[in-house]
Amino acid sequence: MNSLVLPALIPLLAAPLIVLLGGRQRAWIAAMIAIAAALLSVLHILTLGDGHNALGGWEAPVGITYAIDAANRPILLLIMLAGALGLLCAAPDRLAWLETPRPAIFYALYCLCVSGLAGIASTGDAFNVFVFLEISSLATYALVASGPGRKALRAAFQYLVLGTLGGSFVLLGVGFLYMATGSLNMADIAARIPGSPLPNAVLVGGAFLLLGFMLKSALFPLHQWLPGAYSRSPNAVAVLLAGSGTKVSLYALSRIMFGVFGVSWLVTHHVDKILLILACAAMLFGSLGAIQQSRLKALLAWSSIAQIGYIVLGISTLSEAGLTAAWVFMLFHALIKGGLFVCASGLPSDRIHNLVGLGRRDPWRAACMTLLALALLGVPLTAGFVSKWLMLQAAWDAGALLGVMVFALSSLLAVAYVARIVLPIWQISDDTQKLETSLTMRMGMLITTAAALVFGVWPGPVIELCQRAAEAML
Amino acid sequence: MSLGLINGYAAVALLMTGLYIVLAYDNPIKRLIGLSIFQAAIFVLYISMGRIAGGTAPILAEGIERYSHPLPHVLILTAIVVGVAMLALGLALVVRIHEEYGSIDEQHILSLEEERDV
Repeated sequence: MNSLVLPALIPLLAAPLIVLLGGRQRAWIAAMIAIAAALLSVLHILTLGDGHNALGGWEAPVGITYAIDAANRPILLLIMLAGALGLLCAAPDRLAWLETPRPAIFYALYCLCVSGLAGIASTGDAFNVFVFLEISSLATYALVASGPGRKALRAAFQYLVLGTLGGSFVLLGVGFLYMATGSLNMADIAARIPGSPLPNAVLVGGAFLLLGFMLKSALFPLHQWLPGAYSRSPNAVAVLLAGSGTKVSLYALSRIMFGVFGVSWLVTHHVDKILLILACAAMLFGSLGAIQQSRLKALLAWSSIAQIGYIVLGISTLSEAGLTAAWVFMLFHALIKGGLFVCASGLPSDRIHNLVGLGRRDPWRAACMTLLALALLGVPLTAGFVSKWLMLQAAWDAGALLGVMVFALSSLLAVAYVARIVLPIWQISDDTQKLETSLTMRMGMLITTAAALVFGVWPGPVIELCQRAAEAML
Repeated sequence: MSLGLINGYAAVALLMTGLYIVLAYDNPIKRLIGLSIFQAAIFVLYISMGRIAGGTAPILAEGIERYSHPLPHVLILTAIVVGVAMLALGLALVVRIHEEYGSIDEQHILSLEEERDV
């Protein structure tokens, strides 16, 4: 089972090589090859059964293990697909703003970020989660700072401060759990918690871990870093972050919740109710925030805050149906929001009122954007409908009436912000100058749109994958 | 207040001090100092965790039976490296912000941004 380390290892080793290669074009191709190789290794892992790899031959609980099961397979796949999609937008000709003397560093950081995310998804060691979390976060801060315009620098600094706080909370939580159980292996900690001589340390550790991952996954009210980080970063980075960044933190949150503490501990300490309330607040304020934005990428970022609320609603039901819905939601939302960020890149202006007439200036982009925006809203026959329907059912069955009501309200508000994107696109304007779109980006748009439509009609395989994930989790 | 837990109390005091500085100040350098104090408090907590009463340094030698637990110290070496990288990146960002705006004062920068937007 040595291949389990490959998804994290390949991009990690590729990063320094890319810096050595130098050159814009060469670095991009090298990064593409690295991500493609990592994707292949993930596809290979998908064919393997459950298992783990003891690094250096040290078996758990002494050594660090990389564990693979039904729960993290879809997440690994998601990371690599989002990574490849982001790179499509980062083709060298699209990076005119990247004026650094050594553009290769951008691609190296990108690979480091993917490596960190893959590491979080595949490790079975609590301290290792922290290390990979910081690898991906540090790379992300630098990537956000490389965005166009000087506001990117301030967004990156804000993200650095809050992200480091989040990472430190995770470190603190792992420390308390180690104090209480004497172990760092997640499965081993879970086995030792019931007999721990320090139940209070377990409680404090759990609280810090949850807090840290909530901050990293931008759950309301810990979302302040997200709008800046998404909307000021380079488009490729926005695609990667929207597609996998927060999703991986949500995965880590659920892994710690279910894999370490277990459902009965969560119910005793009212974690489900806390998450439900935060999820409702996120759904409401995220949608309200999105309506007020005047820039397209900021609107998409605020909509992500609401969508994180939807996903947490599924997790908070603590049921198999809820977790299945949360996993489906993560995958489909990554697809839809990633596609929308691809569509938003390369526009001459990020202001929403400048979208007017896009339907004539670039019909393909306009069509993709419209379809993806409708999928975000959850119109039937799109992937967004499937995920929202599953979520609504799960919340209803779990008796989370408050969640169902806020869910409906937030979806109504979503009509308002989706209309703000879609309507101007098809308005007629005097400006009929054609807009140039590179081949790689057009590919990205078409693939995501097609996938959003195909999975809307034929979601079976994805739901099955996610159902197995939910079973493995509980 | 038992004296055995004095490291714990010190760590909590440092944690709160660091967090307060991060949240209450606008100056980015001060916020980075706050973050460093916050992280140092966690390091203190981890290192104290490994101590065993009457234990010596964890080196195998004749006649030594009690020694401190080395694992938390090793973990914290990793976390210190992460902290250094964070600090370096944060300071680099502050340098770039100063280059672009000619100031690192958040209020001053906000007023600059407003002027430009109007």
